[in-house]
Amino acid sequence: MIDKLALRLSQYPARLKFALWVLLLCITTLTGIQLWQGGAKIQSDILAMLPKIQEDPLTETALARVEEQLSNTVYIALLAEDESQAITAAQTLIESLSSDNRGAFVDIRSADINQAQALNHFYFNHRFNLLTQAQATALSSGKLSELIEQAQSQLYNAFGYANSSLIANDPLLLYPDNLRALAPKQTLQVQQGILLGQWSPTEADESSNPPTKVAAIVMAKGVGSAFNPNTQELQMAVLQEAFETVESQNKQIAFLKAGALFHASAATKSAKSEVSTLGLASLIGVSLLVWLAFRSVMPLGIALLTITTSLLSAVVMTLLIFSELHLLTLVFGTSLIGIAIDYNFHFYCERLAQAEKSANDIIKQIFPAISLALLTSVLAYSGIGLAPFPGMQQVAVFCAAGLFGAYITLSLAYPLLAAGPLPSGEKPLTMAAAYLKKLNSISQLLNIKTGMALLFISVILAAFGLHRLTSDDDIRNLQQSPESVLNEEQQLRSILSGGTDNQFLLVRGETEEQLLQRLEILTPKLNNAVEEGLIGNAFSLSNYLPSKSKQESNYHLQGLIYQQHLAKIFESLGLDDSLSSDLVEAYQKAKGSYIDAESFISSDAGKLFKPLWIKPTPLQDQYGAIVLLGGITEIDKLESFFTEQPYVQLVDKVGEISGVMGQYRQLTLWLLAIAMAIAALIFSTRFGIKLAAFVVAVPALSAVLTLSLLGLIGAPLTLFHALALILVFGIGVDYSLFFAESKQQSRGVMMAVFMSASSTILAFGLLAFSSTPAIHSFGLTLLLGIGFTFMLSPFIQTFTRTFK
Amino acid sequence: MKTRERPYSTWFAIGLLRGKSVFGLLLLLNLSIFNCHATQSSNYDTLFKSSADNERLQALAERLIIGENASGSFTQHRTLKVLKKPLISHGRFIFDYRLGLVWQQTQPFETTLILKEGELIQIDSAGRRQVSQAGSNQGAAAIAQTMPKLLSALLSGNLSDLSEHFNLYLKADDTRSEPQEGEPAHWQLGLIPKDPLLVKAIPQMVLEGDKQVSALILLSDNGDSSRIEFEQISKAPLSQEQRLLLSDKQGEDSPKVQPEAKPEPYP
Repeated sequence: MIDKLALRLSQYPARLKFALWVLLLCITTLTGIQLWQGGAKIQSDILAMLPKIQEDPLTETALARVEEQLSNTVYIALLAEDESQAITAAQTLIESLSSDNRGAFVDIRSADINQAQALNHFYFNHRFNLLTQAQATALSSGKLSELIEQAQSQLYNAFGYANSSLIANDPLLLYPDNLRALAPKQTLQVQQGILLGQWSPTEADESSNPPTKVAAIVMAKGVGSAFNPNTQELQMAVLQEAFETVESQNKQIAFLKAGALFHASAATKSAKSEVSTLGLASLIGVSLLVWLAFRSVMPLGIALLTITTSLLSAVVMTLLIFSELHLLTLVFGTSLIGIAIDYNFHFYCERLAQAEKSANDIIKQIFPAISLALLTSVLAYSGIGLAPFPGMQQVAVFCAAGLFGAYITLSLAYPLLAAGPLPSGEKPLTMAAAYLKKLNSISQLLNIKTGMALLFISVILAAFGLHRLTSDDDIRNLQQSPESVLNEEQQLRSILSGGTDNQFLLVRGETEEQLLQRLEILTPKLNNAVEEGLIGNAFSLSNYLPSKSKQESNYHLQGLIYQQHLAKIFESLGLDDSLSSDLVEAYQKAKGSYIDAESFISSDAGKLFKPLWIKPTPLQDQYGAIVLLGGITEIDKLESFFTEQPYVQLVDKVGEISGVMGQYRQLTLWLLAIAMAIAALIFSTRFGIKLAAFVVAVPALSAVLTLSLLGLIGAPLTLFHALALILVFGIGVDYSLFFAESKQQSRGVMMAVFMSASSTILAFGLLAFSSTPAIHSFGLTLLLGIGFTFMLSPFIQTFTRTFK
Repeated sequence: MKTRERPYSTWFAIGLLRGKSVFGLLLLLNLSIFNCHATQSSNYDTLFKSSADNERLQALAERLIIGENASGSFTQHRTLKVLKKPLISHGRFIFDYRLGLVWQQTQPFETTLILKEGELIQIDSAGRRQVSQAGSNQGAAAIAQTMPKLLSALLSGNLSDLSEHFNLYLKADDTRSEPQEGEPAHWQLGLIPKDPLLVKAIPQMVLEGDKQVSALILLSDNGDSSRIEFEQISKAPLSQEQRLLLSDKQGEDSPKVQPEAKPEPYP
């Protein structure tokens, strides 16, 4: 069937085919331009390429809330010799960021004075429902005199909080302690509205720096996703300008930065530089290869044309399907240069080998092999595309579309464009022939005994390697930020004393009251977890939202003060008697007015905590509260820590995704086996079962050898290794296909395979030098796999000679 | 176990620190929402109209320098509008530039406040001790920051330090003529905190003296006031006993009352 198609195709005039090609090219280009203007963008969010995990709606909401909250904020520490310098610098920075009118940041702040006022404003009206544990105990055990004594002592303190206004409303001064219970233990000070912390240099540079500095903290919320390169660029530029303004006033100020923005920006930068350096190196290498082989400008020009059209169709197709292009796709995509060029090599090598034939004839001749190659490659890419990673699906579409572009160019444009004569190239062909001959003689030298011995040794080695092969599916490996970014972040964390991890607890309840009571039960457990060192800190809404039953009991206890012993209290403290009726009235009026979640989170005081409270929606009918955790040490123990509370769920997205990665790694390996079987089936219709098995055996053996080599060098297996193996199959099977198709005239094929293996290794091997671990593993696997395939595939010819 | 400091987690990790510290100095707000009677003691109106210039401050500073340590006694008159009569207390204080400050009330009941290296130790009449790190809660932070700075600057005559944290106003009788030998002029130094939170807690302070500091007056917007009179200020080196009190050695074997254990909360 393929042969017929090749024949039909060769009968059309070259000009007609060329016109068709130009038409297709124009359509693609126009579509691309339209897509780009329609808002297609480059995406650098590593999260965008991670698999989507199905969660129940409540967990889904909670995850979205936490992520949104975490990803947009940037933290800046300004380090100065003394407090006043730090404060001035922080004020300058805030002013500079706020006055910028490009809208890069909102919520630029240090200490939020208004928030403190808002909390006070909210809770003061509910003071009759609030008691600290100690106050409640004192009241319920009849130790009112103790509370009176404490109030007395406060009254005498000139620097304390007792003043006429407060005493008139709260004679025992109970409220300040309750407000204080809402405040965190913190090591930061506030001066003139600026948060100040202490910064100590790390041990390494202790000698060169003064012992400690004052760090002023400024926070800002970025507008838009920190992972969008345009947003990133804007935010970084605005920050840089603000830093320069601060520096122009005081050169001594040093900066520390933390936030997703800086990770994302570093990732974009490294990806961009990798795309350009790896891409350029790969392009230069391939061009050099073409020049050396054919010694003519024409093949080089045609090669570049093939690569260009291939990249064009790849980008346009990806944008068409995903309406965005992931930066990682582009990095992977640079390797397309190495694959797309293969078709070109086959064509030219055949022309070189059979100088007497026309371009059209050559195409007719290699068309079946190339079509099969395209088919298997697309099959391989579909395997990659089956992985639940939007990012990998993009890579698959990108590469498949790119190959298709190259294929179309070869079949439609080559007959006209590449028809020019080639300078005779006997030398490389002779070298290829000599190499084949040498291989041939080696294979003939092998007798059964040495063959068996060799086989035995390789089986042992492979088994040993496979046995040592470990796996690591931690998705945190995907993102390897530069040391400097991590270092600054670590220093900022230590100034802020801790941080929040991305794992959190989700507590559920059927009603608001039930949820609040559950949070109250959870509080002592969290304290235990902190004491046992399982977590560094935890933040629960429980302090801010006491349950109704607790408020009721507190109100009731305060009746002892306002309804039974007010006269005694007034006498002991020497208070003006005229105040007493107002107090009693205020107490009675407060009956039944409770703090509730809705009014809290919609108040100025609680708007900050709004993300932590989840109300029922049409999709789910439960209430949920997020409890943030920081400094988690042992996640497994933590998980079992809450088994007695089935309504508490530890949400660990990183862990879950890593688990899914592991599942798909295994699935991918199975898919590889299935793809091989299907390919063997397709081939057997053309070659017969034996040769088909042999053709597939070459990439299969290469895959096994690659795996065992990875085991030997101790690289843990990841999904990316598995995906790369699929590609090894997709590309590697081409080599054996070409050899199988070529039958006796194999020196052209040998040269083409040599060149295509070289170019693939150039392209993918270079990926092994990427600083992103995922890309590195991908590249390394391909480097090894293609290497093995290249070494093994010429033996197909031995097989065809021996058995046909 | 894997370290949690991996980059992916840290993106999220620093996250909800947002607003972590919004509670700073909360209590220092002095519950200003109730300050409806903004009656200002008119005695000091003229003082707070006369900004202090550097030259005169310097002259005052030179007279004030009393060295690295001081001790003495005090009497405090605290007038709160809601109380039937003023609260009068007595006590003593010990100050060392390096070691810190002991503020000990002896009458009508005993309470002690020890401030050193950012640590605030409060001992109440029943002998219960409460230790808080400066910054660990707002009340302590406020006092821990303000008091030692104020007192050490005052007692050591370092007025440039003071001017960093306060707007200064000076009314001195030495403007008319050179002060007579042996008959030092009376002066008043007005202080208004620059920190917006502190200014809500202590809107105005006045320091009075002649040869030495004689009184510190705290004024609030709602008509409450406190007047602390210093007596028998001695610049003599501290006695062994006083040093011991400052270093708070006895505190180490008595159990400390820790604030309620609770998860560190911040979103």
